[in-house]
Amino acid sequence: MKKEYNILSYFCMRALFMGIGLSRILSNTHEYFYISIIIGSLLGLILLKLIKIDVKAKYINIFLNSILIIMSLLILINMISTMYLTKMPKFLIGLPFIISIIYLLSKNEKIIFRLGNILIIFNIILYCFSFFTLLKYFKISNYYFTEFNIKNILFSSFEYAIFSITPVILTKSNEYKNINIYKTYIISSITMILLFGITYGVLGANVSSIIRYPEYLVLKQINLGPAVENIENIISLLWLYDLFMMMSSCANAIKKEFNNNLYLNILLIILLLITSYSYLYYNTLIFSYKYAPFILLIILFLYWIFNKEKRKNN
Amino acid sequence: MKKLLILFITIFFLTGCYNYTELSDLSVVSSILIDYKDEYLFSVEIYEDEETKIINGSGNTLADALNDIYNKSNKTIYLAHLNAILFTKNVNIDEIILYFLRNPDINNNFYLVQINNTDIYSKENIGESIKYILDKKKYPNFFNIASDYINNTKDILVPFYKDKKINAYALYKNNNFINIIEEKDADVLNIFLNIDNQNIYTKCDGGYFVVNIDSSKTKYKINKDINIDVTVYGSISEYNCKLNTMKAGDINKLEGYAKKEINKELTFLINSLKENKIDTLGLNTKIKNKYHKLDKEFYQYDISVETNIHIFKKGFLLK
Repeated sequence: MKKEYNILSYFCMRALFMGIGLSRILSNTHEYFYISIIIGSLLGLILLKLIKIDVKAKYINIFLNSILIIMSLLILINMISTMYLTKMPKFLIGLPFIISIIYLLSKNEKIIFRLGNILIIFNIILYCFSFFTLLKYFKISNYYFTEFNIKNILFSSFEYAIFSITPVILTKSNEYKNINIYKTYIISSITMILLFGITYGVLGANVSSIIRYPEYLVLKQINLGPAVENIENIISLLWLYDLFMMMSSCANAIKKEFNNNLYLNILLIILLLITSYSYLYYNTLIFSYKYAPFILLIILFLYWIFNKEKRKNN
Repeated sequence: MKKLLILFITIFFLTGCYNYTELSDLSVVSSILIDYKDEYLFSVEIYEDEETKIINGSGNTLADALNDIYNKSNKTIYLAHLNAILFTKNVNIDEIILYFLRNPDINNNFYLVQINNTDIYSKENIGESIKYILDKKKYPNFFNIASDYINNTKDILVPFYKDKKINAYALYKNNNFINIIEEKDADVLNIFLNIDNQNIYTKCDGGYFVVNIDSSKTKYKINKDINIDVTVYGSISEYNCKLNTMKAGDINKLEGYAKKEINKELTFLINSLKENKIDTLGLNTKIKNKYHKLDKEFYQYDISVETNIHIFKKGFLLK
């Protein structure tokens, strides 16, 4: 189970970088992103070590995981409606994911882990494929000098840590709390540094600052001769897997609190309705992008306060 | 039963049927020509059986003009296989770059090409021809130009199409069209930019020989002055000299002639760029990278060019 839980955590650590984390960090730090990721990773490791959780606050946990699901759905639906299904109603875009999660959670928890085991293989293949095919578009000249702003770098480090550890901590149940995920966290940080590096090397500072999905735009460059074009839609499944697995983990955490699948199914549909409804007000999206790290910080803080592990008296 | 029901419902929602269009209902666009005369004038070249079809449209904005085309077409306009966007100097390049970069339905691998004559469409597929030529020459595509433009690291060069040929550049500085860099200068500039396959004509002991450039590498050294090292790898494509290409000493002499010729051309071009304050090589960015500030612009530096040439192929003939 240790291996499976680590794989699931790997998905959760990366999920929130699509659309939010990566573009925010690149536009704030430019070519110094690696300093932010290194400091952020150290900070993340320290927080993972320090935050000891004993899951007990039932309704708070349901509420906080629900917010995380809404955030993931916002990213996912916005991404799909921007890139692929521009005319499709948002509710219908999110529905297959919610139905799949409902189906997944109607099964034993082991099924999520098995799915993680399968998707990690696709994830690695797609990651390696996109990385190596993008290498030829990488230009060292895109690492041109921009002003060094220590405040932005430190803030981005904090963002990196928050984006990567919040989903992991929120989805960690008591039975897995002693499993060591530090190695997975380090591997995830290395893959993120490489991904940030290649994205920045293809786009440069100014382009990556004005693009909502820089990680998708770079994939649009991939062109393997005249016969294999427009394959970015397949490669970007890489991000969908991360988000899907994170949402499944959050829903699984809610399931453990409910002990009733019907309530969970109703809640998931309500969350999708809330997300779809929020698209009527574009400001919601802007707000969630702008304040994402603070929202996550509040979620993490509340989760910790209500589920703090009591120290054992010797 | 419950499983089957859920799977069955999921299948319907995994097809993305809202944006679904039959292939036969698509008008696949090969190229778009954009001009501006009081309003935007669009001509869209569409694949149709063996030939191409042109649809014209106009509007006060780029979106209006393209919408006009959508309204005139009896099929859905499909931009994902676009080969080229052709535009005249009357159009603001800034608007084109940002408009098409924003559009999610378009690929980024098409070419942006400036033209001086809007009457270019014939039965031949112009978009495909342009893409073929520029792919072969490895010229910068839309994405390369757009990222150079947005990153603002250098003055941008846009391939220029004239008389069914592309061997010139339209030069832009700060978003403004400056001039056309004509054929010979464009060839020399391509050596700096490492875009290869140019022919260098060189005189030798009463005759001449032509070196075809297979590849080139450019290194920039910035100190008190700027030194540009260009290493060229070429092959002899035409030979009318008395020197014996089988002798190492004679090859060295030929390399010496070619080196002198290329160095002369490169130095002339760099002086011309310096005189006109045109930074197509991104020298200001390189200076800023080194000193983290730009107290002196590139044209205030002394710039020298050092060329090395290696002739390593002579074709089938021994001579």
